[in-house]
Amino acid sequence: MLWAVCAVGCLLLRPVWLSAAHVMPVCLWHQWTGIPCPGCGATRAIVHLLHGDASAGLAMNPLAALVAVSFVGAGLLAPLWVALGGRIPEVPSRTRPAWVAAVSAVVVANWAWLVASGV
Amino acid sequence: MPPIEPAPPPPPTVQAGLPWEAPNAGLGSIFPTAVQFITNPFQAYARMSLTTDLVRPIAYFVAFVIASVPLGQLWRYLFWTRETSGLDLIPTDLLQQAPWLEVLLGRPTVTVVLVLMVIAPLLNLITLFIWSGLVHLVLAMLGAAPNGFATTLRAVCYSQTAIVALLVPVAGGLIQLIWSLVLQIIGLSQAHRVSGGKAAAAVLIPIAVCCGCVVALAVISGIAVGGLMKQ
Repeated sequence: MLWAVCAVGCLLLRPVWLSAAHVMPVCLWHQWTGIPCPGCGATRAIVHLLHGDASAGLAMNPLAALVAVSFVGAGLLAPLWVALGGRIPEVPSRTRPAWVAAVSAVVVANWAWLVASGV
Repeated sequence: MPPIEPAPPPPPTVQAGLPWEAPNAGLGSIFPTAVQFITNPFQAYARMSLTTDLVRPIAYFVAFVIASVPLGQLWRYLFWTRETSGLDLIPTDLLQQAPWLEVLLGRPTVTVVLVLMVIAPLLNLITLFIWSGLVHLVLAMLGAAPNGFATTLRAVCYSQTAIVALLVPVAGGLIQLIWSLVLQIIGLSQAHRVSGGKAAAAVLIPIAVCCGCVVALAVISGIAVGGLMKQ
């Protein structure tokens, strides 16, 4: 239920996000080194998504765009999932090297894309 | 006859549940609960129920957010200047498109305070949920999340007690941020029964992923400057 409230809130607060994007501080790492950090382009990706331009959002920061869409989409579907008797998923509590490696690989691959595309 | 060893002292008994988590607890129980988190956060988190309805900690979080709005806006009203408001950073055409932005970032009025009291809980709930998710993800990667996401969410909710730092003008926001992180580390270590190091890593790694590059750059610059000074 909390997830659904947050997802609806994200959509309702669209004007706030779009305005706040203009007052977000610039990335100091990017400014000093010229190389994007792992989070660079996330704000611009979400602004593109809020304007309905999914491909531009994905190009700007694929991981941020996918996480944002998944967060809102799954949040909107969560109450329906629970109502239909679906099991609430839980992150495994024990470390699984393959799982950790997969998450790390996704973050590194996304970072490589940001560096290559010159975000 | 061997000397009789004295019996070991009984382990300290920790009463289960916080005052705010008692059945039918009213708004008045928020105050003693907050006092516990301020004076003895270790014991307060040890007492935190892991089974009470999640509505309780979330309501505690929201209550503190709502209470912080007039306080924060009071300081903004007293110390407001155009230079520090961020208004000059916004393009003029955007201000023409969204005139409410100038109202929101300008010197606060009663209307702005009332609007923020409605918007702030929603904004903070979104932040709470996303932040708790990130912290829980790192905890799970470290193998230190045996009690599930709800426990992480509870610990983060009660760390909102740090908002009382906003009573301090100007520096209150920074104090609140640091205090809140410390409370989260204590809360996660107590609630998940994991080491303080793993709890600290879970809280600090998400921050480091974004800001760590800057810290690394600062350290490298410091070493370089130190080397130059020796020459």
